Amino acid sequence: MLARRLALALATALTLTALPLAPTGAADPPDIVIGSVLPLTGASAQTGAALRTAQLLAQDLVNGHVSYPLPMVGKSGLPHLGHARIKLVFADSQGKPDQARAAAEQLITQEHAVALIGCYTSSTTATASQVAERYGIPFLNPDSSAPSLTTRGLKWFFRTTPSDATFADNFFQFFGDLKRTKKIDVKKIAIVGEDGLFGAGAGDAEEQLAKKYGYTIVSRIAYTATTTEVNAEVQKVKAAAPDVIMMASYLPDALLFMRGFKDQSVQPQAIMAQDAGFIDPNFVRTEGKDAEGIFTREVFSLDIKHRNHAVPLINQLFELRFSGKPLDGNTARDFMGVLVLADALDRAGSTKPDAIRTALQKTNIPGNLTLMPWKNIQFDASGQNQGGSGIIEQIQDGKYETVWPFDVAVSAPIWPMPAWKH
Amino acid sequence: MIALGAIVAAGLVTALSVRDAVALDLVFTLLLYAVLGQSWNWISGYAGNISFGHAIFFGCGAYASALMVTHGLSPWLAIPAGAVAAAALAIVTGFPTLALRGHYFSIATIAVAAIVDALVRTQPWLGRATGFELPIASGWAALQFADKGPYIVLALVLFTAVQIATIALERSRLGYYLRALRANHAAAAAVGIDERSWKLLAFAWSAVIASCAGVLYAQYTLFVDPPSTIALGVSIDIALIGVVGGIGTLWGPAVGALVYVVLAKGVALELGGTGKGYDLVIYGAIICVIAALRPHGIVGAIVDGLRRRRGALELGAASATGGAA
Repeated sequence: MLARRLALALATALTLTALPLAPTGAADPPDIVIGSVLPLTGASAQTGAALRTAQLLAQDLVNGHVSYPLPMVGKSGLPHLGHARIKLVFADSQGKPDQARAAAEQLITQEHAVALIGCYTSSTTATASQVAERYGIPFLNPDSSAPSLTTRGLKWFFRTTPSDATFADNFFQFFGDLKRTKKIDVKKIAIVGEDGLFGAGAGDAEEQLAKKYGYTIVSRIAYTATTTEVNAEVQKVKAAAPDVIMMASYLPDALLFMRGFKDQSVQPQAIMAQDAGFIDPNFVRTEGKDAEGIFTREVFSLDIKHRNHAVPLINQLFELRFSGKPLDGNTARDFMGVLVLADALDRAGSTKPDAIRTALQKTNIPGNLTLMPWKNIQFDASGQNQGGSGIIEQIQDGKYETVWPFDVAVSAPIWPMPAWKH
Repeated sequence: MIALGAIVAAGLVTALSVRDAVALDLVFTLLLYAVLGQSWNWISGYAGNISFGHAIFFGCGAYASALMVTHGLSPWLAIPAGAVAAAALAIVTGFPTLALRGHYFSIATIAVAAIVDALVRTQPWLGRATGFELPIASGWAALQFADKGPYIVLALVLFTAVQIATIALERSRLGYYLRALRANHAAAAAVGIDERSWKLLAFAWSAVIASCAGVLYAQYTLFVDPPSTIALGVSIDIALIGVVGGIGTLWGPAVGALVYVVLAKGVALELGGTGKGYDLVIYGAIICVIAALRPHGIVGAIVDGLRRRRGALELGAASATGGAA
């Protein structure tokens, strides 16, 4: 008993004398806080949870020591900042612009975030990035595609993802490539889209680009996504007899239009969709054979493994953390977003906002060191990544096969789409 | 009046001394929602016509602000422009609907709000579903500030004006008529109160108040789109503030806004990062409890409690004197 007490006393004394000496030389540098604003509750909560998982995975890989062909991964933190670790702190936007504003402010003023990342929905990104602008804190947006975000003249805003304008442009580049390589000529285009931010924005971009490249818009149809009946719209499309129908729809309305096109035998050469409803797992499940030949743009595909073999490995790590669900366009973009910030922080060698901003402006990450189909990551004066592009997939034998750009494609496009089987 | 003075003093001290941006944000939101709740209270509390479309008047102000700024005009003009638009909208929609009784009026307001929502989403000059982003500026001319202090002062001015207007309403002919109509419209009509014109007047003023809050909101958030200003969800938030605080009471909306801001906003900022949605569960539970146990709202319950206590005291005094005799 006495011996134990003595030992305890000695130990205490030792600890006390050792304490002032211990932290100095061997101390870890403080964690570098990156604030992340995401829709963790509300209508986009499921996506928010996936994005949070992807960002945390990126954080852990940056702080860890296992290397992959990705920027800043496996260097045990940020080497130029004494191997300081990055630490993501999350705040919930609820998918609401005013809450996103408050969340961004909280991360900057209370959590002392040196940079912000987020926010998925374009309206929340708009308000949160304005707060960052006010405080002079770099804001990296990996996942919002509204073209207007980079036309605001903000100094502190950087966007890695291509905007909807770029995605729409990809369709026309695809047509150009088809014409060159296969002598396929597309002239008349019908644009069908829901009337919300997504459909209207995509439709506007497509209409502008069609004019620019000399295509004819034979019909432009906007409908409300919650509609239960689209017969009149389908008839209008049929009367216009387009070569290509461009769709921007969510799942229920996508299914309605597919049924309408089949019932009324609307037979274009191709249907080109802006992801959303057309890449929902339930789309192929419901449509079965009728889904064959549909083209959709995507931001990401596991087919990119042919260019960067990290893709399947990161995908496995993500699946382990997210109950077996694979990486998708949103999670892959957010994962890359954290790496881009880590890369800039490391090159800045400082947590001063100005230094981080300058480093972001000098970002140059080659495309084959990303998970994305992009050429590279390099920001222009507006903060938009110039190297971004989407991919085009086609449903072939019930699977989404990458058919464009040709350097990451795994199959050749089937054109025209098969006739409806009644 | 004393309470109002205390709140103004506290608000001014906060605006001048507190530097915590998050706390100031909550104070601003609190004042803004207190104004919105009071606006709703005019037509739904005092007049008894429960509105579920109040966000469209809030939207009038917010959109007026967005249109003025994006067209290079002064945002100050948005205050009269939004007010006129809101009052006109209230009169046009109120004329056929205010005569509807009970739930039918509420249903009509939902329908009107849905129509306005659909119209805004399809009109290019109203920004369609994309809405407007207001460019960043600073100063009183632009009605935008880098600091939160001026915003709090503006919100405080609006809140005070609306509370004083409500005190005046309670003591005015309009206020008495509205309460008479709410209590028994047939009896009120029998003594010559014209239901439609008096309620239209109250509805229009209510819309003007909400529109002023909308201008302030737009100048603060710098982003205006249909889901954040005129959607059904915003209308329900406004109505909940009125119900939670206490329908038809002077301080009900302010108390309701306090509960709303502390729970829905404050707790969300503290717990929201976990992504588990505890904040929403807590707020929902409180609304359920109030609806089940205290349907008159928090202020209503306090007033009831005070009355009962006063009644008990008088009773107690009476029985004491009786016992002595």
